[in-house]
Amino acid sequence: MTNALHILVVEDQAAIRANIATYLEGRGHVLDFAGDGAQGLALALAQPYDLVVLDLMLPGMDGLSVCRALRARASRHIPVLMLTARDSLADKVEGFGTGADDYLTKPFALEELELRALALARRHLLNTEQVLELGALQVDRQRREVRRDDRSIKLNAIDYRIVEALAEAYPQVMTRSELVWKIWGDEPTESDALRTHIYQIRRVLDKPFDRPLLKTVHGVGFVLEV
Amino acid sequence: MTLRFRFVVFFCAFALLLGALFSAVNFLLAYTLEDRVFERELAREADYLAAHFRRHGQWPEPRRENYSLHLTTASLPVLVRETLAAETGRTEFFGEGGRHYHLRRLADRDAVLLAEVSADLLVRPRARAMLVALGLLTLAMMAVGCVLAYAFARGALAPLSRLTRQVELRAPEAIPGGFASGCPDNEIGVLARALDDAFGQVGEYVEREVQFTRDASHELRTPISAVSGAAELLAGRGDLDPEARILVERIRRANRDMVQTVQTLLTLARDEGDQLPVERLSLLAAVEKVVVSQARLLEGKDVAVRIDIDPGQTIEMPAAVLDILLTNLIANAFQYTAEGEVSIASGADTLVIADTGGGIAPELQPYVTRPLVKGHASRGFGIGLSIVQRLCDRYRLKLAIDDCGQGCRVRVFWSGGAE
Repeated sequence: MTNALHILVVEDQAAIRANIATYLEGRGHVLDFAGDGAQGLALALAQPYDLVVLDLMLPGMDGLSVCRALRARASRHIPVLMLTARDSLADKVEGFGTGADDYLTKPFALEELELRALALARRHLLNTEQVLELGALQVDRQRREVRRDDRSIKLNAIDYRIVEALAEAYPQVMTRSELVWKIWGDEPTESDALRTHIYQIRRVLDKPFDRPLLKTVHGVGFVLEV
Repeated sequence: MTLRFRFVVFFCAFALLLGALFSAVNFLLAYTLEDRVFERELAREADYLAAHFRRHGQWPEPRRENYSLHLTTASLPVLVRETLAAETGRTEFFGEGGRHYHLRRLADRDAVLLAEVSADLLVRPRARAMLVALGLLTLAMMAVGCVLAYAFARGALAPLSRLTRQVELRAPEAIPGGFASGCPDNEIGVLARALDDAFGQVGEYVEREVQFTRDASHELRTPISAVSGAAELLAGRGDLDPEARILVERIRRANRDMVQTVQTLLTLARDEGDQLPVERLSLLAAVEKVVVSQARLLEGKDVAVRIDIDPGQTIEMPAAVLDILLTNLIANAFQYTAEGEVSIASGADTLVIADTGGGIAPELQPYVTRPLVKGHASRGFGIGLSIVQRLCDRYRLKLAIDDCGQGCRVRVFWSGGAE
């Protein structure tokens, strides 16, 4: 399997470790496990993992310390996906401040864990932060270009920014308000502007293909379904 | 009326009363004394006259010029005679032209001795001046009393006033403390220390409850995560028979309810423990986020979501609290609506969430926001609505839940929005 990742899971709860193992190994990934922070850090420094899944609350050395030490001592940037039972904004900010690349709050869906892991690892495997690759969809942020099935998709500036925002948010759903904020900021926009742009995007991104990528959630949310 | 003001007023009134009483007694005493002096002189003269009469058989002339002897009342001045006829026991009379008489009957005879004393009066001509002096004295006493009362009240009640200000100025949600510092070692000090102790205890209880809720929620999340993962793995297996699939789905649903409840409890604990910052939030953005996060509850059901909220509408509260509030209300509507529509609309200062689900049994209507009351079709959230109610109370929102005929209607009113 081409998407197979070598993942280190640092998690002290055996049941959750077992769930992750069953799911991710079942999907062809190769996993190593550590039950505490010190062991996790040692493994992460010793092996070239594609990704480290790190629980925030660990006995002894906690996730934030492991992350900080990893960033300080590793010679390359290893993507870190933080698992947290704490979900306050302050913790998130702290998590990102210490160098976590993404976070997931417990309880999480295993499917989402894999999607995020793939997105994170691939971003780094490509060795460039500039090209987002989501299945058949490629978003080149440097050249502001979108390709699907290796065919160039012609988008105007705002349409491109919408697709880019959705690709960055993937696999999460973006709401209408979030998109409007991201594209137009504080400047007021016509209420139907977003609808028009979504329509235009669908015409070039989905219509020529057999399967739509852009999915709507009850008219208020948009997500790319890769 | 403050305690200090009442104290001063009471003390001044007391000083005034005391002064007035003192003056009145003084004034009356002066009058009485003067009368007594006249009466004693009159008695002496009468004794002399009577003794003379007994010895010589005839009345002598009174020894003082202003005294006159009257063998019958007929020779008395007219005013005196007339008054005496009306009041036989009277001894003091006023005559014409400022004359003032004292009268004494001579023993066993009709004769009376009359003294015209207007020239000897000491008190009566000075009554006005005396009254003024006494009045001024009274006022001076009152002023001194007021000053003393104010000074005393200020000194003695200052710690109490400070205590009062401390209680008044505290943040509405904060538990007050630090009363005893700077308080004197008297009753107020005792009260302040007792307040500190009591509020300290209340604070500990609150802290303990918050901590317990937080710990319990965190503890619960690990097993819930384990169940959630295991159920997901099970659901992903291709070899499940349909019956097992139904069971797995049931586990997943119950697990999601648990996640929601734990999330709600955690938010409540965080909000009450850490005083989350109040922000101005876009209502539409918050509602959209919740609709997206709860969309799975509508999977496989023919339910349309209609949102009619002005994009400019804002509400002020902590983001996590608004999220949990909307999540509970919208998740409820999504979960119990099998088909039809869930509409989320806003008016001026109101949010209305209406669904075409089962509605609310009339007998449950008054109790829906009490803890652990559930309809028979309810699969959870017994505690959800009661927490929503608690959050609404905390942020001065009004919550109304009723059955609108085809389903349930929840209305939230804020910033004084009237029903």
